[in-house]
Amino acid sequence: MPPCGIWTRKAVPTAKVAEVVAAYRLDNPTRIDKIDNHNGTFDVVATFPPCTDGQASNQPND
Amino acid sequence: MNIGTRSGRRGITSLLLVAWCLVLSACAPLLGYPKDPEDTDATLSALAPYFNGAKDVEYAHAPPAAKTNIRNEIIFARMRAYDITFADFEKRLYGDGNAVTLGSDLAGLILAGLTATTGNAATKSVLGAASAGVIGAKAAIDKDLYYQKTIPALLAQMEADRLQAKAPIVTGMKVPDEQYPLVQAYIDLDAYKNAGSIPSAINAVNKDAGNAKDDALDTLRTGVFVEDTSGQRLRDYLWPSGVDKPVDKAHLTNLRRWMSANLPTGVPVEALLYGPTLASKRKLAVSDLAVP
Repeated sequence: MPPCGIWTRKAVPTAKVAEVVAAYRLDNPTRIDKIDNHNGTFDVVATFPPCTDGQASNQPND
Repeated sequence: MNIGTRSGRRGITSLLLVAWCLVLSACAPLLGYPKDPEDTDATLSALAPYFNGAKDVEYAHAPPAAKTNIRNEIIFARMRAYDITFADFEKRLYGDGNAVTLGSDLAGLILAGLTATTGNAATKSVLGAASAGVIGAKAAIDKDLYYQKTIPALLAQMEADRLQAKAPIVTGMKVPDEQYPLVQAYIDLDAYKNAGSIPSAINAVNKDAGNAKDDALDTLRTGVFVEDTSGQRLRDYLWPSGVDKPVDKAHLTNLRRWMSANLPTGVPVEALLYGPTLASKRKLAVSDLAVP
């Protein structure tokens, strides 16, 4: 079963963002957002197709 | 069809029935419960007024000061009846499974043995068909019912659910009727009765399993970036020429196969490489896949 819903990697050093994005892309997300934390890190948010079971885990937990 | 063949078949049928009865009667000790000294049928009969509305009428016409005692009497009686019927249900779940399994196994063996050693071709044919029928019936029963391995787990769940459902009733019995009227008690009693059912137990087990899976995924879903040597080795295994170059498809296939055997389903590769809670899994993957 492929990943579903939203997965977030927090506080990724700027130099490592490309690695994280490349790793997420292996599972074909519908979109990837990079949020600048203005402290030398980014949060990388990968959005996959919605979970079909409707569980709360569709959403990020923070 | 000649008379001799019909007579032979009647004899075989009788033999089968006798063997079956002997086997099943010998299975009584396999029920797994001691004999109950109480005549529960008589007890249930005595509790009939608590189910046929007679006590409800008494409760309805009682002065307020007496209602609490009558309410508690009704609750006690109904809980006792539910306990008796649940205990009987529990015994039958265990006992019937054992009887069907052992009885049909032995009957099948007896018939198969007779098939090999007895009579002419027609008799062998009848016995063979009967043996196959008994064994086939047992297989069908085993598949259709919830017996064997799953029953102990379901019974444990039922016991737990009944205890949980009992709590509000016991609490309610300690307060006056105005605070816990009989109508409310009936709602809780129904929940107590239904907690001892197989569908309810299956729902609870499935819900627990689903919750555990969701909790595991939620833990992985969001986390801070962690880079360790195992993660770096897995990254280089996937992208030997750098992440800006194409992934090594054979290595990716190997890693996905490993993940499907070692991680919950639906975890992206990224979570294995950089997730803070998967350090030990990364290390294991490096070892299992002989990642350089």
